Amino acid sequence: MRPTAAPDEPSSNDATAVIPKITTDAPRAGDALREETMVIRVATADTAVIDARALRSALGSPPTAPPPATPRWAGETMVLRIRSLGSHAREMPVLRKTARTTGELMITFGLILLLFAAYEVWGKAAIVADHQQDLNAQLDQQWATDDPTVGLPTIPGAGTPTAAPPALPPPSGSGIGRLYLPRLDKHWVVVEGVAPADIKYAPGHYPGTAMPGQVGNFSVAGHRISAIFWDLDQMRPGDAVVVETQSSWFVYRVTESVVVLPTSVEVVAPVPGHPGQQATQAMLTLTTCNPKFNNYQRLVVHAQLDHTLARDSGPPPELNE
Amino acid sequence: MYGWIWSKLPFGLPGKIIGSLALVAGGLALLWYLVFPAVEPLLPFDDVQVGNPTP
Repeated sequence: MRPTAAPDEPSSNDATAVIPKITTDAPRAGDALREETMVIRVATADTAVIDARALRSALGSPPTAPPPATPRWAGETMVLRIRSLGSHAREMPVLRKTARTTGELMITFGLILLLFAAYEVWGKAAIVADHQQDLNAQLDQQWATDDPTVGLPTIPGAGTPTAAPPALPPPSGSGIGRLYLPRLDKHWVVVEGVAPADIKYAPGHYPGTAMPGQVGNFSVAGHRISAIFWDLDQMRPGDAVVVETQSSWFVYRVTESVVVLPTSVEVVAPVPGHPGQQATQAMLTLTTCNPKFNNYQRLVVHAQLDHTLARDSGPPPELNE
Repeated sequence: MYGWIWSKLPFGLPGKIIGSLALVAGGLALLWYLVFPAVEPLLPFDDVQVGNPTP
């Protein structure tokens, strides 16, 4: 503690001024920062150095002996303002502490929520990319070991049967091919199944719908997240949709985009929009939630098979559109 | 709460600053890589299925 009215000129340490009795405010418990004002009227012209320790002890105990002061001339009224230490030196009342902590906790919780929103966009995108890498590796391995002449298993009832004998549908969650959307510059491994667990990290193939290249409606569902079908609304009629399977490249062209209710399941019928009709063309349908941050609608993109290439002939040029 | 943490960090002002940054980074990593992936399936943001989608 230093009195603000410190003397400029040097003074003798021995001399002590006689000062009349003064009264100070006793320290009040609970004050975070307190000022004490001591009014000292100097009786004599003798100078003295204010002893900080003496001052402190004077404030702590009942002020019976006035501390020595340093006046400049007799008769001066010197006002010493003594600032005590800040809040850390003193107990804060419990109520103020609780209020402060509650406020800090609430702000912290708010920041955590903001961080969670960021995680929903960027964190999940990174996780999807990781899983896509795994799926890609699995698919390559699967295609390298499987007999390529068998081709894809057919789904009974989904469309006209192909030359290969009917086989069991692939297990849920396993990759069945790759989907490329050159307009969005994105591609994914498509898995079988549209349960929440299936489509969590990849677009999923509606079970029971046609397989790629088959007559019928090859339907795929994907979340409206940045890593999957976020920009699906940018697809325009005529855009290429390329599907890669073990044996072939299938190039589809977008025919239309529609927004429907979630209950409009006829969009994945073998003839889109006409349940019960016999399919004659190979179609492709992509479905996702709409609007972007909500899911009370579905955005549906229909495409028609344009041509097929053997996988050995390499990636089709449409991939670079 | 934060005042108490600040006062407990050692090594003077540089130590407190570095310690604060380390605590914040550690907290962020804990949330991002452990808490959020664990809590996220429990939240209803991914419930988009409407009955049986097959035709």
